[in-house]
Amino acid sequence: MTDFKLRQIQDYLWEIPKRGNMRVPGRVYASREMMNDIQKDASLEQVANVAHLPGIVGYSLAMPDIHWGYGFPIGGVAAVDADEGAISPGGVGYDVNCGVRLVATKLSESDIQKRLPALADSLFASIPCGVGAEGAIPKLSKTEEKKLASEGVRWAIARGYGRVEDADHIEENGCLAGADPDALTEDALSRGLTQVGTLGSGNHFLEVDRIEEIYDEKVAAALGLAVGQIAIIIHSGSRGLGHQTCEDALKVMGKAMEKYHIAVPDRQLACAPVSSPEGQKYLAAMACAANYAWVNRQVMMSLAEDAFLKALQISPRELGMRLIYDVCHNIAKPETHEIDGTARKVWVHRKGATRAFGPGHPAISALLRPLGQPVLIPGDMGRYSFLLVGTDEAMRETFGSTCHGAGRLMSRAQAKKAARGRDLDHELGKAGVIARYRGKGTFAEEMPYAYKDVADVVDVVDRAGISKKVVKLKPLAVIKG
Amino acid sequence: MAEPRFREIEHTADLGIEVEADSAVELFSCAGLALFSLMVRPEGVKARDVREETVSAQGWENLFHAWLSHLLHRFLQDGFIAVTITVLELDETHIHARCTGEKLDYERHDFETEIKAVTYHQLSVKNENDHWTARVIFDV
Repeated sequence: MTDFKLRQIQDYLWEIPKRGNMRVPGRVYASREMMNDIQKDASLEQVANVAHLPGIVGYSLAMPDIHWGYGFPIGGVAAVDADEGAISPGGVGYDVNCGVRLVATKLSESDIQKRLPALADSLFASIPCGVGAEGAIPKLSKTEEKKLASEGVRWAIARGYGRVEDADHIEENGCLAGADPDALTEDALSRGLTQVGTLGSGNHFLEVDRIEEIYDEKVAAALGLAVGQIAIIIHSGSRGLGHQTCEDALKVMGKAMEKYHIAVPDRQLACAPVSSPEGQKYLAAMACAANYAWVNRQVMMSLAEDAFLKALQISPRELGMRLIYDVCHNIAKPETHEIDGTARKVWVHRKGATRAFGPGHPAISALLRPLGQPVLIPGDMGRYSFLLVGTDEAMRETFGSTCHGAGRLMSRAQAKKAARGRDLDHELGKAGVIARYRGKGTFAEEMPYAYKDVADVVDVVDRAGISKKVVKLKPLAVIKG
Repeated sequence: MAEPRFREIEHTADLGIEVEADSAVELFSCAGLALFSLMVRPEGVKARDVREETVSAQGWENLFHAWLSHLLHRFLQDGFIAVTITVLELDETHIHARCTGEKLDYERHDFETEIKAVTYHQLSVKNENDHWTARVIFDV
C-alpha cells in the first residue's frame, strides 16, 4: 500500500528505515514470499506509526504473522522506556490478555476415538460460548469480582478450579502485579459479572488435539509430551471486562495527549506517559483485566476436565489433566532488557505477539526455567497448532517476543463468500475434525482456507532463532462460539 | 426506511464500513443499522421491542464513535438487535433515537460475527455540501 524503502537485513528480517517523526526504525520478521503479501495492506505503515510512540526503544517490531490491525499492527511489539515512555492501550488491544493455554492428558487417541462426538457434545454443553455467553459459574458479586481481579488465578484455584501447581505454568503465575480494581469503571465491572468461564466468539476456541510430531525430543520429554497423546488447547481472553477497560482508557488518553504534548499518527495509538496518573490508572486496570482472563481460562480448563470425566466415564487420575503452559498475546509487561549493552527497565507492548523468554530467565518458574518459556501458537481449526520454546536470541533481538498465530488470509466477507454452497462440517470431518459451534457465519469465517498456514509462520520464527519448535498438535474436536 | 447505504471495507482481520448519506440523521441511522447487520442478518429480526437511546459526546467524530459503541454495548449486554432506528434529535453533541428490534435468538436468527469494539483507527465523519460520509473500523 505505502511505498517503504524496505531493507532486507537477514534471510527473515527486514528493516523500515527511520523517516519523518519515527523515533526508531521498524523491523519485521518474514520470508520473502510473506513480505510480498504483507506489502499489500497497511500493516507496514502501522509498524512505522508505532515507531512514533514517545520513549520507544530499539525498534518497532513485527512478527511474521503481522497483518493490518487498528493502531498497532497485529503481530506488533514495542518496548517503551519505563520512566520516559508512553503506554498505549491500543498496543495491548481490546481483548486484554487474550491468550492460549495447553493442557496435557494421560489419554491417547484410542481412548477417546469412539466417544469423540459425545466428548465434543459434553464440552460444548459445559462451556458457554457465543455472544452473551454467561453462567459458567454463579454470577459474582462486585466485591468478589474485585477480589478475582486482584488475585488472578489464585482466586480460581482457591475456589476449586484447577490445582495449586497450575500457577507455576502460567505467565506471571496467573497474576499481573499492580492490579487495582478501583481503577476499573463501573461499566467494566458490570460487564464482567457473568462472563467468567465463557469462551466468547470469533477466533476463540477450545480444542481437543493429538500430539502429532515432536521436533525437540529433550524439551518434549521434559514437559511429559509424547506422540499420540491427547491434549487440550484453550484460546480466549478477558471478555467484556477487558474490552471495556481498553475503551475507557482510550477515551481518557485521547484527551490527555494534548496535555502531555504527544502527537501520534493514528487516534487508536492514543497514549500517556507511563508515570502519569492516566498511564498508571490504565496499567492498574489492565492488570485487573489480565487477571480476569487468566481466571477465565483456568475456569474453562476446569469445566473441560468435568466434561471429559462425564463423557468418558473415567476418574481424574485416569484423565491426568496437567497444565503445560498459559501465555498471553495481547498485553503490556514491565520487563528488563539489555539495550545497547545496558539493562533498561521497559514496558513491552505485545499486540498479537507472545513472550518467548529464553532458558534460565527468572520470570519462568523453576521447573520450566532450564527449557526456555513454552510458547503456544494456535493455527486454524483444520490443520495444526504448535508448541515452541523461547530462546536467548529472542532476548537479544525481539525483547523476548515471537509470533502468536496464523494470521488471516481472507477477509471475513471473502471467507463467507467462499463458504457458499459448501458443507463445512463435512469438509472439516474429512480433515478429521468434529466441530460444535453456535454461529454459522462465525464458523464460515474461521474455516481453515481463510487462514494462512501457521507452519510457515512458525518456520520463520524457528529459522530466525527467536523461538524453537517443540511439538505439533493436530485438532480432533473443536468448540467455537 | 431506505436500505442503509454502506459498504464493507476489505480489512483482513477486522471489519469496517463506509457510510454515505444526505444528512447527519440518515448517516447515524444507517451506520447503526449497518453495525447490527454485520453481526446478525436483518432478515427475520422482528420489531418486537422499542427502546429510546441517548448518547452525548463532543464533536461529530466522537459522537459517531460513542453512538456506535453504545448500540454495540446494548447488543453485547442484552443481545438487542435494532431493525429500525428513528433519529429524534441530533446535533454535534448529542443524539436521541428510537430503536425497534428484538433480542438475539440463535434458533431464529443468522448470527454472523461478534464485533468486540468500535475503534478510532481511520475514524472519520465528513460533511461536504450536505453529502455526509463516515468511515469506521470495528474490532472483531
